[in-house]
Amino acid sequence: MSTLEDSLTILKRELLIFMSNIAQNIIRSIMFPLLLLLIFSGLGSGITNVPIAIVNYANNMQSIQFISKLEAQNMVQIEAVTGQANAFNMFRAGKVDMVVVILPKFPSMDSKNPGVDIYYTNSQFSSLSILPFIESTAEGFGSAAASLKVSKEAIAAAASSGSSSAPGSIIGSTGSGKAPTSASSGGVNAVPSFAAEGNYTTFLVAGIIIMVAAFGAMFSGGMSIITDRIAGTLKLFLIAPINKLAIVFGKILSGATQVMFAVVLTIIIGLLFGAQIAMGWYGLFWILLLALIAAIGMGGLATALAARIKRFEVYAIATQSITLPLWFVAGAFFPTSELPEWLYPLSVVDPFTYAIQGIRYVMMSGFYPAGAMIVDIGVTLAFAIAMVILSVAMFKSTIE
Amino acid sequence: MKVEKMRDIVEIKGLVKKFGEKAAVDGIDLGIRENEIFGILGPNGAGKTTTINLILGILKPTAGTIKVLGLEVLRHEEEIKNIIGFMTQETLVEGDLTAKQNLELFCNLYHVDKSEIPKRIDEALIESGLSNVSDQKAGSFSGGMQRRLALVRSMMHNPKILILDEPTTGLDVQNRIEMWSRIRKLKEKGVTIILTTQYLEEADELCNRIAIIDQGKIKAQGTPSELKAMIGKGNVLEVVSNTQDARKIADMLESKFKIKATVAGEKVNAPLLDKGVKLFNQIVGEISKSGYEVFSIGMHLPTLDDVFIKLTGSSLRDSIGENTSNITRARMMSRR
Repeated sequence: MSTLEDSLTILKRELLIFMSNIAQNIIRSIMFPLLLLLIFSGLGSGITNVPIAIVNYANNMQSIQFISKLEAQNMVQIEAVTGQANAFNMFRAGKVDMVVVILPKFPSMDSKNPGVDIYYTNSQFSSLSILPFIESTAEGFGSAAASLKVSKEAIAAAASSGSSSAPGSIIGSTGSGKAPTSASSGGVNAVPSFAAEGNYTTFLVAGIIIMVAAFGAMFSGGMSIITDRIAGTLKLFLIAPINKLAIVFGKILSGATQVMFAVVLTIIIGLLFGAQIAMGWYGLFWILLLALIAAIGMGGLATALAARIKRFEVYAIATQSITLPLWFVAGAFFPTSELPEWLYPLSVVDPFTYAIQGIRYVMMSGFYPAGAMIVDIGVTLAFAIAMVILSVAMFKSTIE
Repeated sequence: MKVEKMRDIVEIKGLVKKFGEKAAVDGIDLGIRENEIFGILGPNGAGKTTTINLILGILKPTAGTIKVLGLEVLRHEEEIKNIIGFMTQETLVEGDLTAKQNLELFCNLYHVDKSEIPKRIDEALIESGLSNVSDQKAGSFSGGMQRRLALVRSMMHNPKILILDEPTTGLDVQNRIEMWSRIRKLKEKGVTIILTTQYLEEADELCNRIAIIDQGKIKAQGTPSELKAMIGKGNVLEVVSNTQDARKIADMLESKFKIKATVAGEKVNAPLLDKGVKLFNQIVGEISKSGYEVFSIGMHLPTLDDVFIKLTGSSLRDSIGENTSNITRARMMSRR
C-alpha cells in the first residue's frame, strides 16, 4: 500500500471530523475576515488623477503607446516633460508625485538595464498606490521597470549638479537615500500598494487571505496532532501498519483543505465588502494557488512544531509568535515600503510578502507580470517545500 | 511435574527501557503462550504501559529483545503490526465520527481488502450490539458502548494477538463483567490476549496466567492459583491498625507466633498456613490484651492482593484511587 493512499486515509478522517462540526467551522472561518473587514475596510479610498511626470527618451512607437495606455486609465494625470532635470524640479516642487523616465532602449526586459525608471518617494501615499499599475503596464509592453525609491533631497542635489542630460544617471547604482533594491531583484520594492483599480478593501483582502491561510494551517493540521496525542489517537496511527510519513502528509493536506475552504469564504466575504479581482474569475486560480502553497508551508511548520510540543498552551504561543510577525511584516495592512527601515529587510525574507504581493497583482492590477509571478510562486513554493521537509524530519525523530 | 512447554507467541528477554536515568522497565523476561489470556498486573507507574508500548514498537528498548511469532519487533515492524490489535488505555474512539466511520477508518489503516470492508463493519456492529446506532457519533455513546466499539475496532483486521491496556478501567461492574465475557469469547476464537490491569479480581477471574510487575520488574508469574500458592495453604490473617501499631503487631506476631508478617502501611498481613482457626483465636486474644489500636481483624483465603503485598510490600488496592482520577483527566482532555 502506498504512502499516498495512507495519507488519504488520514486526510479522510480529518475531513470527516471537520465536516461533523461544519457549522462551527464555518463560523470560525468567517469570523476573522469579517471582523477585520468591518473594522478596517473603511480606510483609504480609490485614488485617481495622481500627477506624474513622464520623460520619454525612447520616443518610439511602443513608448508612445505605453503613455497613451497609462493615460487611458484615469488613475494618473500625465505631464509630458522634455528633460529629466525639469521633471525632477517638478517632483521636488511637489507638482508631480512621481517621475517616470522612459529610457532610449525601451522596451527592454533586462532587469539590470530596464526600459523604464520610476522615481518616487516613500512619503507620497498616492505614488505607492500607482507604482504597480505603471510597472505592470510597462511589463505589458514587454519592458521591465525599475522603481527607484528616492528622497527629495537626493533629487534636488542631482538636479542642481547639472547631470540632467544623462538619462537614468541621477541615482546611479550607489544612490543616495535608500538604495534601489528592486531594479535587480524585480521584487519586493514593487509591492503593489493600495488603490490601483481597486480600493483599500481589495488591498486588505489580499493580506487577509494569506493570514487566513497561515492561521488556518496552524490551527487545523498542527493542532490536531496535539489533540490526537493527548487523546491517544496518535498512538493508534503510530501502531497501524502505515508509513509514518502518511500521518504528516495527511495532516498537512487536511490543514490545506480546511484552509482552502476558509479562503474561499474569505474571498466571498471580501467581494461582498467591495473588494475586486481585477483579473476576473481567472484570477481566482492564482489566488487559490498562492494561498494553497502558503497553507502547505505553514501546515509543514505547524506539524514540525507539533511534533515536538506536547502542550496546547506552548503550541499556541509558539505559533502565534511565529505567524503574527510574519504576517505583520508581509505588508498585509500597508505596503512593506511603509515599514520602519530596520523591519524592512525582514519583509524581503518573509515568504508571505511574496504570496500577498502575488495576490495583489491579481486582484489590483489585473495583470500578473511573468517576472513577479516566478518570484512570488517560487519563493512561496520554496518555503513550502522546506517546511514539509522540516516537518518530516521533526516528526520522524519524535516518534522514535 | 512440569507442563509440556507450549510455543511462546511473544518472547521478551532482558527488556530494559530507561527514560533518562530512570528505568521504567528494568530487565523483564516474559513468555506469552499462544491462545492464552495473559495479564500484566501492577500498580500505576509499574511499567505496564511502557512494556506494552515496547511490544507495539512505539518505543525502542534500551536493552533486550522482544520477539513476536519469532520475529524481532523492530526489524519486522510491518508484519507484526498487521497481526497485533490494540485497545488503548484511554479507550478512545473518535468521538466526532460515527460508529461506522470509526470502523471504516481502522479497516483503511490496516489495509483491509476494500471489498470486504462493508461485511466486516456489519459483523463488528452486530457483535458489539451497536447496529442500531451505527450512524450516530461515537462521542454520544456511553462509556460501555465506546469500549465495545473500541474492542471490535481493534479486531477489524483479525489480529492473532490482541493487546488491551487496562480494558475495564473506569467501567462500572456490569460493563466490566460484560467486557470480560467478550474477551473470553475472543480467546475461544483463537486470539492470544495480553492485557494490563490493576484490578486483582480481573486478573484472578479472567487471566490464564499473570505476571506481577512493580517498579519495572517482574515479581512473579504464573497462573492465579500458582501465585496464591506462594502464600501457602490455609488462611491469611489481616489486621488493620494505624501505621505505628501495625509495625508492633507484626513484630509481636513474629516473636510470639513465629509467623512472618508483612506490613503495608496500616495493614498487617500474615499467612496462618495450616494452623488456621486455632491460631487466629490466640492472636485475637493477644492483640486485644496488648491494647494496640485495631480497626479490623480478620482471616481469608489467599488472594492476589496478598501475593502482591508479599512481593512488593504494598497493597495494590491502595493505589487505585489515584489512578481513576488520572483516567478521568485523560478523558476530559480528549473531549475537545
